[in-house]
Amino acid sequence: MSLLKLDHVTKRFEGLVAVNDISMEIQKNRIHALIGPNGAGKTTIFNLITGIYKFEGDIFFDDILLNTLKPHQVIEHGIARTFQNIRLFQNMTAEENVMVGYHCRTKADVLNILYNPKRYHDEKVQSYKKCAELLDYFHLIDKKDEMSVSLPYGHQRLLEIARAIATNPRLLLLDEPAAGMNTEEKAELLTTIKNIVRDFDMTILMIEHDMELIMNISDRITVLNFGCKIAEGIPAAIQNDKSVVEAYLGVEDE
Amino acid sequence: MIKSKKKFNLVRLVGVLIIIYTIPFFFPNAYIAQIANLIGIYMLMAMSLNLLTGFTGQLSLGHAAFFGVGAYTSAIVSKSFGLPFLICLLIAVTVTTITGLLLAIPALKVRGTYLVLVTIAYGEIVRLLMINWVSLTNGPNGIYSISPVSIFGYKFNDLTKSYYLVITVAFLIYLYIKLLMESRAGRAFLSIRDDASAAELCGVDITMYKIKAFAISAAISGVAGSLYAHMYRYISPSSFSATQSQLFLCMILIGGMGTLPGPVIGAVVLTILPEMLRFMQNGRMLVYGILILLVVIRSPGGIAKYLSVLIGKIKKYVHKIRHQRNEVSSS
Amino acid sequence: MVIIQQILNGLTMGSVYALLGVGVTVVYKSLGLMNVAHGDMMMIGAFITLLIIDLGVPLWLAIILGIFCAGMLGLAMERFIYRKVNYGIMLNLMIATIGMQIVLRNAALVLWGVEPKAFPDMFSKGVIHMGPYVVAVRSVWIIILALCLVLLLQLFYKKTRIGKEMTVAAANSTVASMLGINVNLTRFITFGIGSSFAALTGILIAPVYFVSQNMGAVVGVKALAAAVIGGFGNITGAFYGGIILGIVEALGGGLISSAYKDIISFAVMILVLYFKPYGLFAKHVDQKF
Repeated sequence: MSLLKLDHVTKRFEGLVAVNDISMEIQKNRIHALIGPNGAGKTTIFNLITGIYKFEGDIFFDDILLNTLKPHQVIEHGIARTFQNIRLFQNMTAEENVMVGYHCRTKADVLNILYNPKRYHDEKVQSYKKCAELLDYFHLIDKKDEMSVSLPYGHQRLLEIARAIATNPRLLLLDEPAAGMNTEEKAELLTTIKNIVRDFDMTILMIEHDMELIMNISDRITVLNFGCKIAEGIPAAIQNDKSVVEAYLGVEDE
Repeated sequence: MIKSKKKFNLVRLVGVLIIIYTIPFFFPNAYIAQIANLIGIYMLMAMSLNLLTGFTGQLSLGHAAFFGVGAYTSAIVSKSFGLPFLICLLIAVTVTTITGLLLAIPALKVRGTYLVLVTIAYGEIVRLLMINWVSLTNGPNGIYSISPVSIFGYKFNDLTKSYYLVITVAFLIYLYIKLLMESRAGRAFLSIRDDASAAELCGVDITMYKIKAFAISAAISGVAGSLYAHMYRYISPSSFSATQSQLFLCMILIGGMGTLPGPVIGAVVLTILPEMLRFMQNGRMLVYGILILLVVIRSPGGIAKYLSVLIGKIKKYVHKIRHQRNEVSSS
Repeated sequence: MVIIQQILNGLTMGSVYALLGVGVTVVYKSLGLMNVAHGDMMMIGAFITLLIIDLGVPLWLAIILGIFCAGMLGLAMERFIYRKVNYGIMLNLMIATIGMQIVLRNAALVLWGVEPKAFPDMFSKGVIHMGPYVVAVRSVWIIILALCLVLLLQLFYKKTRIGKEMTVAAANSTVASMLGINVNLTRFITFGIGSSFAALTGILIAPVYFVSQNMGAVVGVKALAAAVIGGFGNITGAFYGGIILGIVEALGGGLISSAYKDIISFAVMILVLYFKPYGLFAKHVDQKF
């Protein structure tokens, strides 16, 4: 039973077909990579899954149809994401950023904090505790009171992932998590992602351009070009697939 | 970024309470008492605007409209039906909150830059209604002889009594906002200010929270308006113009937008300043405008930020001196 | 037919809104900034011209000089104030324009007081009869001027090198600087153009509306409304938006009530924004929420 299923999904932007009749399935606890040249439609697919645009076709998460859900509802159902360009909350500390992630799993609100102060105080204490544990997991705990934008780049990327995990997802969408990292950081990221799958019972769908990282970590790869799926399979198969090579490097002149 | 202090500073709280409740003993005359009352009411308006604009990032240039709706509703209900003050207050708050929700509807759909426009237009519509709907509002002449604030028979009909009422209300609202901003809902507001689409993708229902921000902000303004009407006992459309909206914005900007003490500081400074600048009758607002430009260019955190940086430096300095002294005494 | 007469009346104010709306749009296209103070630039332009007239300068020369000075003022505002504000944070920039609005209005108050001042008429007071309908000569001039200026502006953006550079800078300032375009310069020029347009509009309406420190208040908001109705960043859209607003307002004022005329305009604007947040002429946007 697949965790995420795209069924003949198409997205048109006024004459431009960004995503063209894509069908794919992602199995639980797998690391599934989505690759392709720039403009192939990868981030658009993320946007479709997370409810930003209307589209044709169906997307199922477990048994739930995502088509008509608003973004925050998609998150509530258990899908979280990070962004290509880091989108942390700039006027908040690292800790506060992650605390926002707990929003959809807690209940304190504008009126009920007045008539049930004890309950929401407890909820707050609990959230801060879980937040500290999560930051600790990512080795960010000693930076928790620093403004998120003042953290080094690699830490910001990790923080974004931490914030996503705070929403307690079953599926994590990572949009180019290794962008801008050096070799060392990428190796650490590799380990971190594998640990996340193991420690949080997570399934991962990842957009990436770093081939080495992809080949090393993915259980399965889907290749897109111009909005169409051109190949899908295990890393070894994709590596040797002629159409994939062509898509990235162009056809050799005869 | 409102982090609750781990240690609840009782000393500071008591200190503040002592100051605000003993000030009336220093009122040399009725005129000063009048100003103190006005400061209290403007504090409420500034806090209301700060919640919507400073904390949730929804820039509003029409807050005088909420103020006016609250004031007029309370006055009209009081004069037409002779209802007791608390009922008038309740009705005023309800009506103002409804208008806040009405404003929220287009606001939800438009991005920041369009939003200001909608608020300006809204402010103008309300003002024009006040002037032209003469049968309801008595037009440009305003409404006279509004009954004074009276709670369960106790009349707040002198300036000192009304000051105590206003400052207590302001204090309670301040506490509520502090509680709110340190909670989950407060973080939701702040996340909307920083990056609304990212917030939504973190599970925050931004539509609902924008609506809540508008509603709470409008409700507080309704309270302020109602108090204003029954304290001054006379209201007219000229108190609720675009200039007034700009003044409220100036208060939070100069005091420190997006901070807790900012609106309070701003209200105090911008109510006292015109009295000190009496000689500059017309130039007053000009000075505010220039101040805004200066604040935006040099210190976007306003006076509150400036003060906190200053206090930080003083603390460091004191710490250094103490450290040096310890070194000297141990040698 | 009363309606047709109202429409003709509406065309005049509509052209005024169109001109102002186009000015606002020009600035928006370049900076991504909606200049709340645009109506007040108009007011200052009219005052400056009045000042020059009072110095004894002949009317037509004064008008040209006035527009030129207002343009210079706009350039100075960009160079010394707006540029210092962090262009990245839109909220700060908006606040800066609000601050500027307060400064402009109150500077005018301090310098020229509260009494509205008369402005010499540059058009004849005659009317033209088109069948049963009446149009003021002034109105015809204003409409023609508005059309010509907007066309000129379009040509400037599409055909001249600077115009094309400014369009690129507006779309994406990072890419533009990489292409060697001086983004600061384009912003600088934009403010000059926007301010000049505003001043011209102020001069056009001054004879009828008199010059006073808050003449820009209501008209300014309607200019913004025109730009918004037309779809932000769309010059032709702003032009049509202004005309439509003028006509709707005239019809509303004539058929419903002239006291509530302004309320009708603002309500229309809010309604348009509600149903079409990207303007009447914006392309179909299909976000889910």
